[in-house]
Amino acid sequence: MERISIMISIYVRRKIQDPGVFKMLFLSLGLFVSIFLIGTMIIALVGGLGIKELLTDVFNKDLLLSPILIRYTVIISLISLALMINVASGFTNLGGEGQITLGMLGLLLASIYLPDLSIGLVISLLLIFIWQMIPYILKIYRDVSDVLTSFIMNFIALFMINHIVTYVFRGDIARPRSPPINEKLSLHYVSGDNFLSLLFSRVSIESIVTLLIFIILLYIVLLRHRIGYSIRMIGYSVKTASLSGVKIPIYMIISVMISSLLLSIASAEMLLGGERRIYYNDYAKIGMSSMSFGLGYTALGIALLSNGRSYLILIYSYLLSIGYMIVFTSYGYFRLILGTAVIGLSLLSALLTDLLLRYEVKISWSQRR
Amino acid sequence: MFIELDKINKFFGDYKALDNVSMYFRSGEIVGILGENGAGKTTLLNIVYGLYRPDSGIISIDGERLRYITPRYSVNKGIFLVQQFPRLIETMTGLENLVLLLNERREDVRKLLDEYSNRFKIYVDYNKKVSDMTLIERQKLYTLMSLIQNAKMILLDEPNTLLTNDLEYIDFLRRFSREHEGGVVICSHKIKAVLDISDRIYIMRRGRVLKEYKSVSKEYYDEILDIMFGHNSDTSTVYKSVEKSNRDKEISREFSKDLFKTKDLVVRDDIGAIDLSVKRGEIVSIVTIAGRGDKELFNVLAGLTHPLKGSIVYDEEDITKKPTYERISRGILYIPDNRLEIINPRYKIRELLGLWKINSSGVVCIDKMNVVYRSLESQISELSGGNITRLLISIILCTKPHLVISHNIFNGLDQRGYTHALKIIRDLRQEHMSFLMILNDYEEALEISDRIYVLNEEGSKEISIEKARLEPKILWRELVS
Repeated sequence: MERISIMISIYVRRKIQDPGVFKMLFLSLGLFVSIFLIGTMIIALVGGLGIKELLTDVFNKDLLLSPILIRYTVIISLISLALMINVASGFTNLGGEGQITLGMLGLLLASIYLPDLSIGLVISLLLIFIWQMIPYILKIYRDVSDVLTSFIMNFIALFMINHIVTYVFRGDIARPRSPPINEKLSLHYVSGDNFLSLLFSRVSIESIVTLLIFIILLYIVLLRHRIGYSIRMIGYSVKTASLSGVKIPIYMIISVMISSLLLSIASAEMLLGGERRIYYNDYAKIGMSSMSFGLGYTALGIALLSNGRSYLILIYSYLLSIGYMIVFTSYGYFRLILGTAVIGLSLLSALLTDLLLRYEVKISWSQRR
Repeated sequence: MFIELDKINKFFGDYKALDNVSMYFRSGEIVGILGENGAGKTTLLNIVYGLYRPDSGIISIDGERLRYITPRYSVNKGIFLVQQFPRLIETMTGLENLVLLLNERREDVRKLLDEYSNRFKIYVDYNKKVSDMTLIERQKLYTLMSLIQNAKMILLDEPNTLLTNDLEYIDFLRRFSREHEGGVVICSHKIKAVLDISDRIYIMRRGRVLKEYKSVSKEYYDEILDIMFGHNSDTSTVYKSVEKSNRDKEISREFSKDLFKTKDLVVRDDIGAIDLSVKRGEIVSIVTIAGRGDKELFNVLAGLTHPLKGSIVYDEEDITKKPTYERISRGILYIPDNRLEIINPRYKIRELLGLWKINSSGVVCIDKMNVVYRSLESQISELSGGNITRLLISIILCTKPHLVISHNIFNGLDQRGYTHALKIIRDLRQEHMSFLMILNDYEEALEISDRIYVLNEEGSKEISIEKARLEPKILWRELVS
């Protein structure tokens, strides 16, 4: 009897050329929608729920074009941009969340001692800058893992803030939280009755302007300017950067400074545009009990997947915000699971976009006798 | 083992990298494949090892006819590829890399390495971090790994060991094919070296096999040169005339004061002090055996590591403790032997030029060095090894540093590229640019240098270039003394 064997081979190769901006945007959106639809169907079938109910839960105008969604999109984008420049310079910053909370501490200190927004932002920036420089210096000059140190420093920051709001600046006897921030520290918001004004009513003008400026600036700087080439060269290899004449300390400071600035604006938006108090971070619970609700890790995922392309951050942040929105408006475990699933699906679609655009995948089979 | 390639074709987009290539390789034989940069040699080896799939043609291995093979299949059959830039984890030691690759316990791998090193007489310090290893050491480590896995056919892509006349490795290849009945395929552009070692030779040009020599003689040199670069090529003549005119200049040349010097410089415990000097407009070589202090010396001269003792003076200023970027800003340019240590392959050519502050003149320099590229938007990873070296030399052309300190600067260049680079470097010397070249190939050193130092365990020693040119064995004797 003749024996036939079939061999299936999967061939993956890194593409040499970069795809265009529009191809990237359309593919990531398309992938999100298709992955989401498949995911929804699976959830519906497994849980015995109606697909229609699930779809309307997510794809409705009140959610997709709500002021709250825009607010989260802007916040996540700011944090992702900050972490993107860290990643470009070779610093995998796992401590974004702790740094945001430190930024809030800066604003609290200003509120108590020197109530002025600009002073608050400067203190925030300095605290974040110091917190970022420690793991980065250890990595560049002592070859210590930045992933580990930034992760450890993240928790040091979070527990330090917990201690501060519990024992040092406790504003409430009933529960550990800071006193409210002084009214002199306020951001500016759009007012008006038209649709656009309403849509942007929950996010400050400062945050929107900073975000737009830095999306354009980082695109130009990272991909089209010597500063960006130098920063990215450090990210590739410290040795190569040295032999290319890159002044490593200067570019380390530039990248950390930009990142700290973006994180300080994000922390101001979160604190001053929200409940204006720093809460005790309880890691035993999920969701609102944490001030920064795991945004640091999510934003790092976006930063890694955007691969230096700042414009992609907006779209990924928007998709992820949908998930967060569902989580925060949840009244039961069903919506909590759904929201978490949406966050996961968004990251999965970003990952697939990255894979399809940067790698060539061929599947073929051959027959042998 | 018998491998036969029948009418292999391979396209990259519209570009035909291999055009109806037919060849065979067998055990007990060393086969050389000669061709200029971009001739298709590396593509061919990648197909034989299974990294690339041919678009058409048949590969027969011991009579089994296949459309393509996979690396796993090759390894099971005993076919191993030693790449030009072996892919190892830089932050781990050689031993740790092999523990991962072989999936064995550390102590077992150590024993295997010692056993195979002694049996095949290839010695590598496997306790060193890979990032501290030269390309030659990495290639030797990879070869040892292949031998441990019972290699029957070793494919060598541009082996630096051969380029630098590493006698220990050359001797191993001969013994492997004759005593151990192994097969060896060497892809290179170094005609003399391949003629010395091979039993049979194929000549490739633009993806096609132009000729097969079933027996090898050094008399074929000129004929092979003509075939490799085309009959109208004047590479050989240009090469000879460049040689002559520059020798004349060298003799009559008067050099001014020292631009760069080292004093009692110690870079490694087991190597003596290094004292050398470079004057303005001078080409000085320091010849070493690979892995015996060359990488450490380069790192110290570049400011990447500190010396154990001694000082470095540049332009009458002590720069021993100055960081690399400060040295570069004062007019020194460094070129390491591993090109990926100075170039990010993911960068576009435009970005690389931008990093070096090179404006529109960059294109002129690149064209002057005959770099083959699609556009400035092409990624550097698209370029062949030889083209990357040309690109680096065009950076020298554009940035015009006062001093270039390099480690095996001619790595990857074919005969035409080498001749052209020699000419460019000599022209730059006329413009008072100085070169300090750390070389593992003493023949290259003799060809290009105004002065030569040898580095051995006792330290550095200057050798009379006239004497060494008359009797190159003097250099070799000093190297191994």
